[in-house]
Parts: sequence; structure tokens; C-alpha cells
Amino acid sequence: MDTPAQPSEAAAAEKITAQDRIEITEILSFSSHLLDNRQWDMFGEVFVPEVELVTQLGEFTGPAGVRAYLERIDLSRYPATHTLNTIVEAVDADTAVAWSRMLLLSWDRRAVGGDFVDTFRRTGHGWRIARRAVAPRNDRASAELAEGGFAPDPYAYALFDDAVLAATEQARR
Amino acid sequence: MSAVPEAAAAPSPRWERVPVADALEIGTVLARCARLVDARAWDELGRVFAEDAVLAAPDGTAAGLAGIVERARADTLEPHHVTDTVLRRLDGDRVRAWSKWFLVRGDGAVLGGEQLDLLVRTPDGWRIAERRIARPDPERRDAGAALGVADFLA
Repeated sequence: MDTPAQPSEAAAAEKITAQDRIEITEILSFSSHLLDNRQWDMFGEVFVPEVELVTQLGEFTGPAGVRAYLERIDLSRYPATHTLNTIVEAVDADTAVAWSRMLLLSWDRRAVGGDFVDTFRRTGHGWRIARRAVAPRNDRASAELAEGGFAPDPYAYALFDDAVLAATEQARR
Repeated sequence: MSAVPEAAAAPSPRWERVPVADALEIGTVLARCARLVDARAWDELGRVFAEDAVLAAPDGTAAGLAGIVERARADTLEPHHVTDTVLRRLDGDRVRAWSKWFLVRGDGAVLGGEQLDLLVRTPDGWRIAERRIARPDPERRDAGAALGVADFLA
């Protein structure tokens, strides 16, 4: 099986501490709370100022770009964003890639899902998201592609591997 | 540390992190609480709530373990999932926890809300001393009933 850029669990565990892992997942959780509260003025708490957002609608930059993306997808349809089942892959002492499941609840009592792949950077104020790749999963468009059925999603695996490789490359420089 | 510090935005200065060992224990209490309620294990509720815990929800308040059980019995109680917990250390023995929850009903409908907890360290471990439950109203599409960052930092 092709598994690039996968350091052993033991080696990865030494790069960042358990406290770092807790803080990374807390930043992810806090980002969900900020999205639910439309708390645009506090995006600096979770994103770096030049955050890159890679989405099905293209790429967006900075907290203003994140907001523009959320307006494009009409976040107002969804009262809640849940981020869960996070895997944290440490790249080096100041870099980690987190792969999470996301669940959006809609006002009509349905849910849509997908993945977030977040590249984290340690800053002077703690861990922040420097890049987020969003992969909707089994949404209407992909279900149509799969002729109405469940759409398996190989893309998130690739997104995760790509993010780890890119962060590793960047860390080497 | 290699990164250049960015301008600090609130609430960082007021958000003191919880040490990892406590954070893991508190996460277990929150998950266990969902399990106990799902299982209707009322006599074990003391493993997660403090004796004098206070529960405040849009439809009323309950105090003490017996009061919480009485209120919980009256609810429909589909299995709920707890996600997105953020923790803030108030002092060595008190922690604020802000989480989301969602539940999947028998007909497949998904409902969600939030909970804001105060956890206290007791000789038996961390316990929920206060819980505020918020539930946006899908009929009114009213997210105003939700909890906010200000509640978490209060």
C-alpha cells in the first residue's frame, strides 16, 4: 500500500506533546464554535492571518476569504458545525496536520458531512490553522456523480497525504 | 519556536488551558454522561454530576442528582453525541467546558445544541457542577438562543 510521508507512531509522538494535541483539537473545536456564532472578528484565534482555504469552490485567503467562502456556501442554512474524529499527524515540533470529520446540521433537521484537513502551525499565541482543505462528502453533487447512491470519497485520503507532504517539504526549508 | 507571533486577538489572555491529564479526565466525564443518560443508569449519575449539581435548560431548571434524574426521565432522550469541547481553566479545581451535542432521532432527523458546563475537582474525580443547555429552535430558525464566546469566557 502506498503510504507516503508516514513517520512511525513513536517518532511522531515525540515531535509534539500530548498537551499540543489537546490544544490542536481545541482550536478545531473553537473554530466550529466561532463559525456557529458567526464570530468573524475572532478568526485570529484559530486561523493565521494568511490562512489558505482550499475548497470545492476554489481557493480563498485570510480570514476575509474564509468568510467569503462561508457566504458562498450559504452557511446560514446550517445552525451548527461539528468537528470530530480528529487524527493529528505531527510533522515537526511546530507543524501538524489534523484530519477531521465535519458534520453540518441544517435547519430542516438533516445533516451533511465531509472532511477538514487542517495544517497547523505553532505561533507565538499557540497553535493556529495555516491551511484548511474542505472536502464535502456525499453531498448532492457527489451523490449525483455516483448516480444517486453513496459516494465513496478517496479525495480526503489524498488531501491528507498531500497536506502532510507539503508541510514536511515546508518544514525542511 | 520558529513562528513569528501574530497580533493577539481576544480572548487568548483570558483563556488559560487545562493541563492534559485533567483535560482527558474531563473528556471522559462528558462522554460517560451521555452514555449514562442513554442507558438510563440513573443510580450512576453521581459518577458524572456533583451531588448539588444544577442543570438549566430552555424548558426549566433542575437541582441535585434527584432533580436531574426527574427531569431527564421526562425527556425523550435519544442517544446524544458530544463534540467540539473546549476547556478553560478557572483555577486548579474548576474548569469551564463548552461543547456541542447532536442526536439522531428514530425517524432520522438530526437535532443539535450546545452545553456549557462547570466542572469541579472532587475527591472522586471531576464532576459536572453546573450545566446550561441551549437548543436553537428549528421552527423559528432562532440561533439567538445559542451560547456564545462571552458565556464561555464569563
